[in-house]
Amino acid sequence: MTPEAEGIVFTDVSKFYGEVLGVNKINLRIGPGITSLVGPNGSGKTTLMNLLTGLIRPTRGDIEVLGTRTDDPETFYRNVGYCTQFDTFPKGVTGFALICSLLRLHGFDRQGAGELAWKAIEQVHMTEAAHRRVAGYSKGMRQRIKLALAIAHHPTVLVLDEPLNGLDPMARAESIALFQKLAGEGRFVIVSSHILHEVDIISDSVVMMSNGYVVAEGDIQEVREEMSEHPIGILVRCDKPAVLASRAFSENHVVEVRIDDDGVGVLLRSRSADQLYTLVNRVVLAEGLTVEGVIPVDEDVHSVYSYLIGSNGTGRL
Amino acid sequence: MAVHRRGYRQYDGPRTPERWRFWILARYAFGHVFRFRLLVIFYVLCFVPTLIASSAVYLSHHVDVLMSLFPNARPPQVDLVPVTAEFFLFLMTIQAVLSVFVTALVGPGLVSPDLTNNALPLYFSRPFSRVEYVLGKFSVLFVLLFLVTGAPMLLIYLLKSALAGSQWFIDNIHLAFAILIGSLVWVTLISLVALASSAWLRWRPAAAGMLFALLFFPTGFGRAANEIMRMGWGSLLNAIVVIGTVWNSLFFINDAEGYARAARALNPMGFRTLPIPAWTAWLMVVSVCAVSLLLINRKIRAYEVVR
Repeated sequence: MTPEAEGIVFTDVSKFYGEVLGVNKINLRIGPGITSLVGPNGSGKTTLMNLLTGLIRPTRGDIEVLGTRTDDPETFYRNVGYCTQFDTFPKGVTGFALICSLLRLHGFDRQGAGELAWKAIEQVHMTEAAHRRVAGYSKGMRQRIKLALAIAHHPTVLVLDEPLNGLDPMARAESIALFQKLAGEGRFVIVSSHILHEVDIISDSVVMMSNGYVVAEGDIQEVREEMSEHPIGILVRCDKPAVLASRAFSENHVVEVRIDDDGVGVLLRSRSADQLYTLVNRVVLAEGLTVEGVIPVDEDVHSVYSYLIGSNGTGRL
Repeated sequence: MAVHRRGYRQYDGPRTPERWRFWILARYAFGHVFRFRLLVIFYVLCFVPTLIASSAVYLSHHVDVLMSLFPNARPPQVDLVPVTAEFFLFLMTIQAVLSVFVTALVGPGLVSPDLTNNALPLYFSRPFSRVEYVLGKFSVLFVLLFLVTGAPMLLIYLLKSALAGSQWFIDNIHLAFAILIGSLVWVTLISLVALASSAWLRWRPAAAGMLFALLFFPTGFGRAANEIMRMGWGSLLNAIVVIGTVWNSLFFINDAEGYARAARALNPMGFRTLPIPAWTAWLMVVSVCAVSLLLINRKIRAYEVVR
């Protein structure tokens, strides 16, 4: 198995800060693409990221990143780039000098470090401010220079703690596009975020955390399907919603039927996703309905999160 | 899950050797330190005493030059500047005092800004360990301080050897060792104490003040203890007595009388400061270094765990 195929593996990992639980009994395998860590403050996201980047050692368990461990830092950190949640800059340096100096810690010579630093700065669209002091940067600029720091040495695994915080909508869109580009190249992009609709847009898979435990992981649809105790809901937009609604009422597995105010949408909730989709297919064929769309209403991160962890539904954790 | 084909190439070219990467940190720190003009001026002035001493050594071997300056004076009958253990000890003391000020100016700015700005995760999320970080910061002080203490005195030793001949070099080789070891011990001690205070006190003036406080407060406490309890062990808290005793043990390694004379010189005010055994002074130096390292180890972490 190639190191990339092995991915990132947490085996029974726990971290305690004295008597305080950081994370407990984490068993995870993270593959390439964008994986989002989701959870409220104090759920253990940053601890998990610090463990993954070797900044803290697990109290128990084992972490492998592409077949390497932190006890071989030279190889390990070639693969890993970390964008921390908080501003962490030495005093008085310019953006370019900062990236150059930290690249030199990776073993690049002066010229190589300069070239890589400039490429990274270009990728985050910071060329104009590159030679200004970081202390004078806006919040969004600091976020972008942190991102450049993380990607400058071309790591395979990118760990980005709240990378979209403080970015304006334009920079946010550019950053998301960059994450998607990096993930599309086969890298492992691990992002923590509080903003669920963004997680929904960018993630290939999610890891949901609560109180130091992983409560769900995987593709969001797969996670949703596992939650059989919560009825699954779909919104069917068609020309005869009343027909579909009446047929759905006669089925035992259907628990809720509601016709939208606009008269073209019907919300169906069922305990069985398979039976619900079969029902819709059957009715459409039998009654000759013209279907405009079938939209899952709770197969997004926010709904799953609400079911599992109990958010107030504001879209922000 | 989406299909991700590997579409990028990692850098696989040559890299700089791992064992010297701590020096990258030191180089950047040197650049930062020498941006302050006042510090540069003071640092240059630190070489004045050794420059005067080396000039005196040179002139003592070139009386003709001296006589041309003072044509009416009688030629001296004795060695004008005897280059002995006392000579180097005196010079070492002057340079050590100057090095304390250099440390106070440079030391606090090494670690505390990184801690204040939470910059340590930046370093430690790279192939760069805590040991390398401390080594990088330590080497800044070590190099700067050795250049004003051990290095010029070793040059004076070589100058004297060149003027007096190879026999003098051989006969006094123990002085060269005393200079080297004595200055290394001093520089290591004060550098570690400065790094520890810089790591624990994030406000730079406080860290500089702490350095002086650590040098002088225990001295007063030790003297009080000696007077009240009528003993001499309080001198172990006296930095001057401790480092002086260490230097004496190095410079007068074959000269018990010279050692006693130098030990008495450490107590010019006649306080109840009994000469402390050399081994206790060495033990004290090692203990202070060990405690400083422990304190540094507690603070230099990627993430500070607050319980």
